[in-house]
Amino acid sequence: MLHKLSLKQLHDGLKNKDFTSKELTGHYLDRIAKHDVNLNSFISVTSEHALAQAQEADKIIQRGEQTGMLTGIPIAQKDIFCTKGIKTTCCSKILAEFTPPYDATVIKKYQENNSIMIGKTNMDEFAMGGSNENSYFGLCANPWDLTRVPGGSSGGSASAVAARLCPGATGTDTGGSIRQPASFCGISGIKPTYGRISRYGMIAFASSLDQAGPMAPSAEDLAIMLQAMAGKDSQDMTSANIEVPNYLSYINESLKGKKVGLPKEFFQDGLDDKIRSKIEDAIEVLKQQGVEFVEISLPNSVLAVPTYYIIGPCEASSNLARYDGVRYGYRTNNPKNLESLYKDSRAEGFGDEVKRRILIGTYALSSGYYDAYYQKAQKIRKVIKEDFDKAFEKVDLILGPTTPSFAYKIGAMTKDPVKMYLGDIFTIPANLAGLPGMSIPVGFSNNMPIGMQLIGKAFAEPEMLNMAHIYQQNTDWHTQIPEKYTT
Amino acid sequence: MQDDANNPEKKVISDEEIKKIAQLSMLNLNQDELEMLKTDFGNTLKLFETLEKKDVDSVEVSYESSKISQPRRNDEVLHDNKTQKQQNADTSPYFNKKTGYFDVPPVIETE
Amino acid sequence: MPWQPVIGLEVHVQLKTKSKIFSPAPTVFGAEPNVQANVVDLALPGVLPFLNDEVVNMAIKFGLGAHATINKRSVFARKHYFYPDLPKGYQISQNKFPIISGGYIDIPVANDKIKRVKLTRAHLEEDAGKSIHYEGENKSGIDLNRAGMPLLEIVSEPELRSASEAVTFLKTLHNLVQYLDICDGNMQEGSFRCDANISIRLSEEHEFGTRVEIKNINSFKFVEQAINYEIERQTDCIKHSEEIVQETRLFDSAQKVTKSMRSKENAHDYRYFAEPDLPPLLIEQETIDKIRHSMPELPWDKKQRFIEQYELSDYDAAILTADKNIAYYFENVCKETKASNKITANWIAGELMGQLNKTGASIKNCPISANYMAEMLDKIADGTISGKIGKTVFEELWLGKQTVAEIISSKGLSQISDPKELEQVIQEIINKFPSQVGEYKSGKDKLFGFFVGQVMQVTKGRANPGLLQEMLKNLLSK
Repeated sequence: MLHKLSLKQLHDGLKNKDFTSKELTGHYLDRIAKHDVNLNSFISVTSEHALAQAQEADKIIQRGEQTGMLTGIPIAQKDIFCTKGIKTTCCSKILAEFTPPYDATVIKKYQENNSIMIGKTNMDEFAMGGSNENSYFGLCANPWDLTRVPGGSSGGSASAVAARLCPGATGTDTGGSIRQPASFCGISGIKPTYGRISRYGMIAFASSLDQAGPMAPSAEDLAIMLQAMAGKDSQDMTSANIEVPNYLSYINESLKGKKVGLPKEFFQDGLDDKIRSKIEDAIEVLKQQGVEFVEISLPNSVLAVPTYYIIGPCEASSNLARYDGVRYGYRTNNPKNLESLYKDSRAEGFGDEVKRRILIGTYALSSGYYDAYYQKAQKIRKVIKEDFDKAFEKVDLILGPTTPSFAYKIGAMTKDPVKMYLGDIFTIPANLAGLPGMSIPVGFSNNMPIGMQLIGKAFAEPEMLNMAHIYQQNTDWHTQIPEKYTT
Repeated sequence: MQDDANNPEKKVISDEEIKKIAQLSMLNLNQDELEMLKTDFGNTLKLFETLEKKDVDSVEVSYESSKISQPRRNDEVLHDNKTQKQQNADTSPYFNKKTGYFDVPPVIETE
Repeated sequence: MPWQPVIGLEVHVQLKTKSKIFSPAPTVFGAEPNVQANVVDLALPGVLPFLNDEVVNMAIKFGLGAHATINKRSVFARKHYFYPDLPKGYQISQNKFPIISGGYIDIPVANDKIKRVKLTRAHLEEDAGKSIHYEGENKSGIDLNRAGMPLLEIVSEPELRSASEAVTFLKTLHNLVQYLDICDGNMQEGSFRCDANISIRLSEEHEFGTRVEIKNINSFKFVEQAINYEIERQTDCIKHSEEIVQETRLFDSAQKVTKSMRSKENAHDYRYFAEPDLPPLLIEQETIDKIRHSMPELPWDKKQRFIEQYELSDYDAAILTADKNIAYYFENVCKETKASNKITANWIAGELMGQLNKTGASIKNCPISANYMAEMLDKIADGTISGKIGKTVFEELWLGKQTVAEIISSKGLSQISDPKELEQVIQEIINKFPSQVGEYKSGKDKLFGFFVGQVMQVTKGRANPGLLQEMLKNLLSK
């Protein structure tokens, strides 16, 4: 039952030599072999690599060296992080055969912590999507109901953690890609402040919004993983030059006197009633811990979705220009000329959603439209950020639903991309404002998990993890595992 | 989706325009894709319409998150030419090991 | 009716840093293809640019040298177009907020006048790679060694009015960036190249005509030829009532004509937006002050100093400071030699620069060291050799095989300054040409030169000219 242990328990178990990293890694590899056929949460399982790393970790533990919290613990990596010598595809045909010659900073940091990379997880192509249906390597299922989507874009990571195929996984969040799948799969996930974790080696979708973060069952697990991932990186000029606090040491603080804002725009008609009622339950739990709640307003948050779907695609159209078939990646067969090399390689290599966003972004940046779209979106982005600044003058954290609905049926949204875009309505504002946001499970309806979102001031991760942890000390939603995967 | 395509209200972008954008994006689109993308494009532009009402003329865009200058890199070379050559060969199927170039169809020099 | 050309230049100056603008790959010229392009230069997935501090310092140096405004906040932007030598599909440049604004360069124009040419701006950007065509094969090769090389693009106001003014401006700028030590100035290797914007109009009062851009001209000569051709072409267009098309043209140096690029190339839509991977470039006053205090002497300051300190003419000072390495050489020779500054200047501006020009050698690897030059000038000054013989010594020194002393002794070049020895020679000549002596004595003064020539012929030019004059006069009048 190793897979029911938290990261802290796994760390203690390894340290006390109750089991070895090799055993632990083997246990998870077995679970992947057994369960992932139906889930498809991994696109590559790096067994050999993982076992070799486990052996090294065991040596370190054997020598009795001071070990980090993640030493010997397997973690799954979203296939958006470049891994030296190991295929990194971003779940796109255009990178299906691409093996990077270098490691992303996040990967390096896990290595420095002697953590084990167990595999690379499925995702929406180039992190564009909210259902994992845009993966070149096929659908990924939600372990709570295999006919439903796990969310996206970090769907593989959420699915794998929910089914306990790994004790934790990384994700990236541009408009909700950590929080939404965490919510859909009943796990915890945090998108830290923009700049908290290096983006170097993380394949870019929208550079001003992309942020990596951990996904795991509990807030405590997230604190341990975030500790390993955070920090200034000399290779990322947008990474924050701000000291990384000790997240675990802050996690048990009392919540007494904390003030939390409930944005009225997040509780309007579009919200599913069952989600609303579960959030209200969670609010009650927190009230008992001494948390005060006040209604606040984020008046411009209603503009967040269109703003995001301008800025994101604009940056994406630019970031994805490098996939041209000239130096690496997919190249069309026998291009008849240079133009065909470009146009056919890209047309054959990118999926529909990626093409949609490239086209929209190119359009919004093109001469004559720049001011009406990109420039205007940047201005609204600033206004949205100012809404948050104002709110945070009065409250410590903001709380609301993560998503307006639960995980939907596979195929339900594929015909209407815009409808799917609207599902990001509660997660996008934090990305636009560069603020940390997290999702934790707060209950179920019809056996499908419901997530609650916390949004903090810049670099307020300790306060958020603290509140989430105290909540989880008083509830057990985060320990729920879909029945099929308990043993 | 096909239904939407026939809805004149949602057609806010012309064939010509989408072709121009596809050219700028370097994407070869077949007729079906063009139709589909045109429809989605139109719907997305509809979504953007909600921004039109918002008056932000007086808002100044700023790009910095910090008033302090970010540290810059010292002018140092951290590189090995030999390793790079091997890396090029390992990473790229289009790297010509004999000549050292990435091979592409003829780049037509403009006259 | 004469048409007035209106010319503005965009000069791409490659900054001489050790590593690239956004990556730690080397900038050495001439390496094997693609070995100096690292993951960032190759635009592999996930990489990020990281700004080289020295590039910023060099841009500041230029700004100070050009009396410009150093913007404490500038913003990098992405400029998009697809081309195989542009790995990211965009070039990181600066658009709305360049690092340098304004400024000017004073250039010498006709009648010893100075013209002040205003600069619009100067911004930082990265260079692209290169493509080659495989001889006899239907394919090309991409070399990305140049991708990511740091460039400072300097844009002038359209204030130049002729090809020669444009060239003078370019030469002044070329000299400045070398004085500032921010560019090696090597035009053949593309370290200093320019685009020219040209239009013509009836006169000062008229509005600018349609502008044509000529791209990538990499020599002073070509700049002059390209602009002159373009002025003529545009004038012809107007004369024949043809429309001048706003377009980009390329200079064909073989045929000495400009040619239109395909219209597609002109249909770019660069879709600029602020580079999200790089925060705005903020420069502290402290940094500017530090650079200001370590600024090298600028060409115009050096020229003024040469005029005052070495008492040179404006003309000589201009020639000697037109290349900072020549100026440096001159000062080193002056320090060592007893010869007058004027003579030293004449030798360097004349003989030495002539030889450098003729052989295409650079002063930096000049075979005659400043020491040798000084020693040779000393020998002239102290009369060991004549100025004329000096030229022979100079030619020998250029071969780089012998010292000054060795050349003089092995070739027997030392001047005959011994009166006894000279008297002997003069006497021989007097004896040899009795009738000419008679004629001279009867008043044909012009024949004096004939005797000087005869003595020089016999002595192979080694006779001390002053002494010869004096002794010849005496002996002939006896």
